[in-house]
Amino acid sequence: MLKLKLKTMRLLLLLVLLSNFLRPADSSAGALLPIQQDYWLKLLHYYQGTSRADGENFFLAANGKTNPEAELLATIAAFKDPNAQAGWFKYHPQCVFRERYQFLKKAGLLSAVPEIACPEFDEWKKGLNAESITLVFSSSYPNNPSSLFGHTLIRLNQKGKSNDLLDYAVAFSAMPEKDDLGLVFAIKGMSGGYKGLLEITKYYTKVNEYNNGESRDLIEYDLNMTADELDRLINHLWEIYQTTYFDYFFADENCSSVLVDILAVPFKLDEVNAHQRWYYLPSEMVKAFKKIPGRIKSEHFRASLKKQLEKKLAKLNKVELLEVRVLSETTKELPYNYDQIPVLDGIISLLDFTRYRTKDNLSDEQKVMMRKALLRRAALAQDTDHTPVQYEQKNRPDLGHEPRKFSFFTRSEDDHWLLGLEMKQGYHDLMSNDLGYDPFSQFDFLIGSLVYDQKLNRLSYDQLTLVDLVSLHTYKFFDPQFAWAAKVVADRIYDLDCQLCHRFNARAYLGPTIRPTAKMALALMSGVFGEASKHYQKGTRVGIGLEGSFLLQLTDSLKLGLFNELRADASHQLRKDYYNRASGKLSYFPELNTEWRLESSAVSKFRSFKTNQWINQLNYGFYF
Amino acid sequence: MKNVIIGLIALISATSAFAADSSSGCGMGYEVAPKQSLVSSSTRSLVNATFSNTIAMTLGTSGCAKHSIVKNDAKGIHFAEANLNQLAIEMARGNGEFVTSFATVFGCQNSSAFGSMVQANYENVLPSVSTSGVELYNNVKAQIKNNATLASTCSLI
Repeated sequence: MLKLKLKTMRLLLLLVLLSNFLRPADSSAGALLPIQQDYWLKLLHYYQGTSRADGENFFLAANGKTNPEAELLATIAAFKDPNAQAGWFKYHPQCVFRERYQFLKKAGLLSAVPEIACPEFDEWKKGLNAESITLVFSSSYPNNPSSLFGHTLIRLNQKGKSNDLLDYAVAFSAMPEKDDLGLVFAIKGMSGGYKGLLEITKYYTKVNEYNNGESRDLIEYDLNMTADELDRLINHLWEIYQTTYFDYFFADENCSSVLVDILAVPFKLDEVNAHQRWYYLPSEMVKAFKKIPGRIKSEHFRASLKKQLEKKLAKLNKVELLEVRVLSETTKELPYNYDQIPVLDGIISLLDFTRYRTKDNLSDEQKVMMRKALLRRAALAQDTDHTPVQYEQKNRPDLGHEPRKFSFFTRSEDDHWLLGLEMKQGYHDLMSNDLGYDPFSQFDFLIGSLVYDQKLNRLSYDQLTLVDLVSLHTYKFFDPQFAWAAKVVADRIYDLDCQLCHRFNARAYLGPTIRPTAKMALALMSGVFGEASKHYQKGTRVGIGLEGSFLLQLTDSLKLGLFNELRADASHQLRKDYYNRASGKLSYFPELNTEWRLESSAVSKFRSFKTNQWINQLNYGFYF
Repeated sequence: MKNVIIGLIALISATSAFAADSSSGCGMGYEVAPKQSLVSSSTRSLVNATFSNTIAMTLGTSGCAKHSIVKNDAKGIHFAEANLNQLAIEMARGNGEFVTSFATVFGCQNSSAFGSMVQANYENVLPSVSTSGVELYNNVKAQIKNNATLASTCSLI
């Protein structure tokens, strides 16, 4: 009798659980187990009615990708079947879907089901030996547009460890084909053309890859978590690891969005993986955790190899620095019994950075010098200085403004007054607050603005930006790389007497940038541009452009920018068909997500340096 | 025999971690690729680099050898292979995060003494620019055995 009652109760429980999928959320039955329903959908990685997991092994029902209740029934049936197999290695489903099993067991739906031993999982979990996790944010790869948003991974902290390098790291990464470069890579990355897999590897491989190989900072956020939360994370990692990949979409199914969906399983926090925008940024994940009181225990900054080298070289006096440069660039012999430790350390660090920068392509002379310097250094005193080196940490992602921006502006164009609105989908530009971002960088995309000209009584679009990138990579003797800029926009024509006229405008520039101080950047870039408009005599202009920029962070809340761009149309008469635009800009940041901008520009008349139009603008914007 | 096994594992580690196609015949990459039609060599390479050297081979999920002696040596060899450059630099200084971790691999709690030993024996543990990770690992292991203090305190020797 009791057995019959238990069976009936279990059936009832299953019906209630299923009813959550079948009934509206506000129904009385549906409200009984709302957490379980959410949890089941999280375990299946459901988003807007479909699972984002793409591996067939992840589903036990034929229609499990779109039907969570069918997947629930199939999962329970598979757990009950002693001969069932699942996953890539054909283990028993109980041993593959560890968190599904634990969840359904706790829900009382598997009480009569015999538990299967899972030695592979147990050994794997024991080997991980995890007691907590750390969120790791990798800053952007300098001068590389494909990584401008940064990257995230998690580190599983081992019990009783004395250092971090031997921990395991978990990352979700796309698997691009080796030959795919440039446009093909971008298109496939945007359209789900690559598969993404969960990667579990030693943390030292990630430190080598990001910190050293790509000179990116790693910012580590240790999380407070319970043993139950950790268990559920490990269980879920295993079931993903054993069964599935995800089609990789650069915008919203990327390294961070998939990882945060995995983290939403143990942490039960909807705000963690809210997916507020049509894209998901690595910084968004960090900010989500940062907002949860008490969740982040401590933070650490692991400076890039380049920053480590800069610190080391900064300690040298002029004579020592010259010696480092000379010895590392020539075949000159080290003096007999040379004992200058700072110089030897400088040579070693410089050649080490060069080796990574050149993709392990040191010259034979440099290899010989490296070996000599290492042998000589080994013969001198042991380095016993354990004092942590302090680095500026203003690029920590949790400090930065939100990526989208809405602005109002008022503008004068000679004797015309205009009012305007602007919406920017993302992300950061040269005049934005650099806190939380790589300083003096720009990655703007999908911007649209409207203006109303009071004098003409006309409403018109002002500009449409597809993409506008600037990377003011500092040119240094140990890292001789040029800065670059590229954009594709539709904007206004000011060098002709033409009211509210538009053009297509694209450019690609390259040149050196220097940073006399940490708060100042000077850039000179040159390259090609293309313009097209029905208002042009020939319809198009194609030529050479030259731009000089000066940027200065005056205070934490005030930034100055001066720009001058000269363009010459080479398609007809290069020396005569030119115009110039000079601009001064001042940004004020009263709060993190608000800013005021004052801009003034003088655009010369086509074929002259005489000013054709003055443009003055006051802009108020807020990020969200 | 033990050295042969270690050598074989080092060879597999090196190919799977650094080569374009590492169809070693064991490891999850090999298993995943044919079954999931992810047939590119880069897939196998990445998955094998992930699984075979760290989790799968050391923890026994790949179907490869999982003898406990092999496990410990494989971890150390992989560490030496993957961090050869950083170890070469830090060992010359006798100090650093990678040297400290390398000490941990051998179960040496006194990382300062370990750092001092590898610095003093630099030419013995790294005799040339072409010294491999497995050679470095074996050389350091031999030096620990020759060092009375470390031999008695490094628990994984």
